[in-house]
Amino acid sequence: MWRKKQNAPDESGIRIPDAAGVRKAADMDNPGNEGVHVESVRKKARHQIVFTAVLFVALFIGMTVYFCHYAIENRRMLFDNDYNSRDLLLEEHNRRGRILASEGEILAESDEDNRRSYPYGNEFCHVVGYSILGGSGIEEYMKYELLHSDIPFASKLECDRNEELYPGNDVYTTLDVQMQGYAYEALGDNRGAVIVTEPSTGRILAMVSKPDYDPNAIAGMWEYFRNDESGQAPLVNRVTQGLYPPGSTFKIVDAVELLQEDPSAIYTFSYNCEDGIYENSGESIHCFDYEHHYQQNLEQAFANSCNSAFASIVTEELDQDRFRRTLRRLLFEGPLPYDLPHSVSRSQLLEDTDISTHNLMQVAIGQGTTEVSPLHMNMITMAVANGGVLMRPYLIEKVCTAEDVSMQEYAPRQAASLMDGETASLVRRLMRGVTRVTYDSETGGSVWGTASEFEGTQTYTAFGKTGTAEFGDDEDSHAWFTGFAVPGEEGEDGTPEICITVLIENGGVGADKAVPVAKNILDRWFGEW
Amino acid sequence: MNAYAISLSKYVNTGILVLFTLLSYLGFAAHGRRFLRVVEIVQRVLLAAFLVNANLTVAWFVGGALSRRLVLLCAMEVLFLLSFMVLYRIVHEMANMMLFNNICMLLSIGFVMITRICYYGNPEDSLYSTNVPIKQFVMASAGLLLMLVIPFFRKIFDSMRHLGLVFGLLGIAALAGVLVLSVAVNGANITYTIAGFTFQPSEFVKILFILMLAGMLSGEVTPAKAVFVTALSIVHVGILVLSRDLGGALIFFVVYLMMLFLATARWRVVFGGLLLGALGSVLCYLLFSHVQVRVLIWRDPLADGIIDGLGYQIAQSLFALGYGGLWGAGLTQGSPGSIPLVESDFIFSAIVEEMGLVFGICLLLLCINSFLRILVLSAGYSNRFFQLFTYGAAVCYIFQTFLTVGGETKFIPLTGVTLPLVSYGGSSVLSTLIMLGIVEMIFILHDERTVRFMERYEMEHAGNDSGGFYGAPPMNGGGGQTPVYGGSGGPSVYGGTGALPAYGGTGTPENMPQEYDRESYGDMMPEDFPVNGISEEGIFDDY
Repeated sequence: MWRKKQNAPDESGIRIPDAAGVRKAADMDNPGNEGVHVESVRKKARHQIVFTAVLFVALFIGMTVYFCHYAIENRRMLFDNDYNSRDLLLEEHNRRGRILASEGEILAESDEDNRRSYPYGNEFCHVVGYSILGGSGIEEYMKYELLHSDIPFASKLECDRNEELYPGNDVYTTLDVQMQGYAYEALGDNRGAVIVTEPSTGRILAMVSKPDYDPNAIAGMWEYFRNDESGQAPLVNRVTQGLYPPGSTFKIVDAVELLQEDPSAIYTFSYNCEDGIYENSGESIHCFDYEHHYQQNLEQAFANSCNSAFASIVTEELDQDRFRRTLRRLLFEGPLPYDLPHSVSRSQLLEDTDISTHNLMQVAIGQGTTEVSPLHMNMITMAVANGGVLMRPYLIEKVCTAEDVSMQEYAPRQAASLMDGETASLVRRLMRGVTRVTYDSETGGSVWGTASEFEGTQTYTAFGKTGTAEFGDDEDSHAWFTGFAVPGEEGEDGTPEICITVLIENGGVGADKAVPVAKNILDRWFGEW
Repeated sequence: MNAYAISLSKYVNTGILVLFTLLSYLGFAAHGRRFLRVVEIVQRVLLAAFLVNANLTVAWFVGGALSRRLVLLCAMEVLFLLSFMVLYRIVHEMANMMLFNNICMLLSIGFVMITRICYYGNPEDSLYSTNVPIKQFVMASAGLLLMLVIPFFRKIFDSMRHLGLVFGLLGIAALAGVLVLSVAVNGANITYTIAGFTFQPSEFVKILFILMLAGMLSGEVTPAKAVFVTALSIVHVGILVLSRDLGGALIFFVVYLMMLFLATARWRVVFGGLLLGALGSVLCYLLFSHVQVRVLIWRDPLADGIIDGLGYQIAQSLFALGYGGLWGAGLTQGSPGSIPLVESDFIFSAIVEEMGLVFGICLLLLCINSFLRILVLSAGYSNRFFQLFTYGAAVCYIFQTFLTVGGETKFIPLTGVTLPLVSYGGSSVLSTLIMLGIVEMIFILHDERTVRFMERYEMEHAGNDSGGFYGAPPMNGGGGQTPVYGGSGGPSVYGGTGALPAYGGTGTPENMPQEYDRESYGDMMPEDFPVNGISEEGIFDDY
């Protein structure tokens, strides 16, 4: 009857009233309580008290889960915020880690006083960036990892003994020193951008932007750059942050939409570009240099980069709403699947719901207010090369402690499917026509693709599209080339190994300026000469 | 040593607190008195270890004359807290020591963090090398002393039941006085400054408010009474809203709501009240621009244009929260000084930054443990006044904790209240300790009465059964007068020092049965123990 358990332990705080006798105590010794049945006080109150306990415990659980999740998920974002100065705290104890290329070549390292040096100087300046003054590039993006030191406790003790700073974590990049060198040299003194990627994985092998600067001397140059009014903007990474009209490279997008709506167009499409001019609703558009392309099918129109043919496709054949959807799928007007800061591409068709015929023609040939970054153009090309699937472009291979113990590895990730596989293979066929000379059985003549300089390469097969983007009223124009290459031994249908996009500011005609740069890089990479 | 201070010390701190928290919960579930005694002592050791380890880590980085001051302060803290713990146990044998231990641990965490903020960092910080940690320590000691003294006044506590209205009017007068006389500081903090110490009357009015509600609601709650109490509460809340003390207003409202809920046992009170509260919040939002601003900040403190202005404080708090990770950056390795008002309103973020999320979670678990302990106490009382006050204090304590931690972590909009017992602030520490002192007093009072009744009951029935209630005669060494609790040498069950083994520290006779206490006397109860007119089934159906 009297179970021990029910007798109250005095110190635990749990006072389960142990007997009716205790309850009677309430009646006898507690004055007051008139009108309240003492017996019922506790009995009734129990539900309310349990409810209160559950209520507040639940609130606290919710709050704790929330802030733990928030703090862990956002620790990098919070650390990187400009108003957070905790990076300076870490620099007091930790030596900023190294940044390395794919083969372990050192791209950036710090000495004992946390002074940063960049052995390759200007060559990697934009992609690697600089660490002071807020930072840029990988230096800024990987600040959290570089500044933390995850070496074991014993090693830290050793550092204490030698009065050294703790070495921060090392960041291994996907960058290839050789490829970066080729791209840097090929671009020469031009202003422009080159990006080289691996379409099957998304690894970025090279990223060059010019004009460049020496990151070793950035501190002294800072004021000069800030007040620079020449328009050179050497600190801007043109690959990711530059926005340029795509010119004829946009015909890849036109072709994707056309072939998605009607895959048979690759056989059935025909256009007669008799006088090098296309007219619709009183508006007209002419081919480059008023060239006459005569009767041609889709492959020939693409290889010739015939403006009239594509203006007719976009104004007459395509469904505008479907085209808008395709543009969104091709990552226009939205953030790109890329982690570092980058510009968002614009398309007039998406901004203008009731677009005029004139503007629609401008859209077709990548002029007007349509603007893309070289990175974005490279992504579209990567998707074509990879059967429609875009692998997320990435720069960071892994993060290791200073003792080379891997902390975090980044595997290739699929970003999105930009087009279906069939469309991708048809566009790929079109892009092959651009880089060679084909025999036209109907006219008996030859069609020289705009990038036919690639004709006859032995060690690789090139695919691509050129572009010449006029801007403003200036006579000058930007030169584009975007394409990919399959190793020679695999033949035309092989797996593309390299995807390359070249942009030269004010370079003039794409075929004349951008193609040689791309060819130079690919030739050296594949050992053509 | 550097490596230890940066990398290892934080794990030691976290380990200590994890163990302490674990023991708190174990003690919650366990019943054996001897086990609890061991837990109590282990907790004291853990507390001292934490203070020493944490303070020495800070001292290592501070260096110089300041570090000597710090070590001295640390020694004082350890000495005072430990002696208070021992003293409390000796003076009030029946006190709820586990609750007291929790309080001391929370105070210690606050000491360490405030010391670290003031003694290490940028010499340009306003708090750098000020005597703020000493002030906090003095205030906490004063509060603990009050806690020690308050139970001696337990005899007069019953009469307070009738003074509900007086307390209410007193509170209103104090709040209104501040509103009329003082100038607003920081938009919400309204203070009296007396002899160099700044008092926030709303902190103390909280106690009066709970006393008022407990007193007025302890009898039968008629509708007229409920309306009257509601009106008084609305006046309190209204003055606080006008004083721009939103956090205070919310706390008063929730305490009122929950206490009315307990008193009336009507579910519609709590749900209807929450609905009304929500409507009131919307009304405040529409009426007051400073409320709108707070909500705006809460939604995205990191947004451009907010982070460099109004959202700066909460943004810095979030940076601190994200920096520590699970185990913290290590004491002195963070940058809590970058958060304005870190020592009072943002102490939790500072703790998480330097001691880690795990430590922060344990801290919250400790707060919840204290809350549940107080709640369970209130569940055991049959005196309505006791029950209501204890319950109100529990709600007040935990809701304030929720408001401040939720605000710091962007879970809810920031209201700017302190973390009870941890944050810097004389009024906050003092008022919380007084409130908990009353809670302990009620516990002691209740225990004492229960025991007295048992004894009287036993006397009355002594003749009926052979051997009486207590069995062996040597127990009642003195003789058979009316037992008086705590009287030295009196024939009380708890008999002061040396009468009973379990409570008495000193002088327990070896030949006395160790289990001879209330836990076992039930076994000796006669089978036909009359149960107050309730059938046997009736006793146990509750429990």
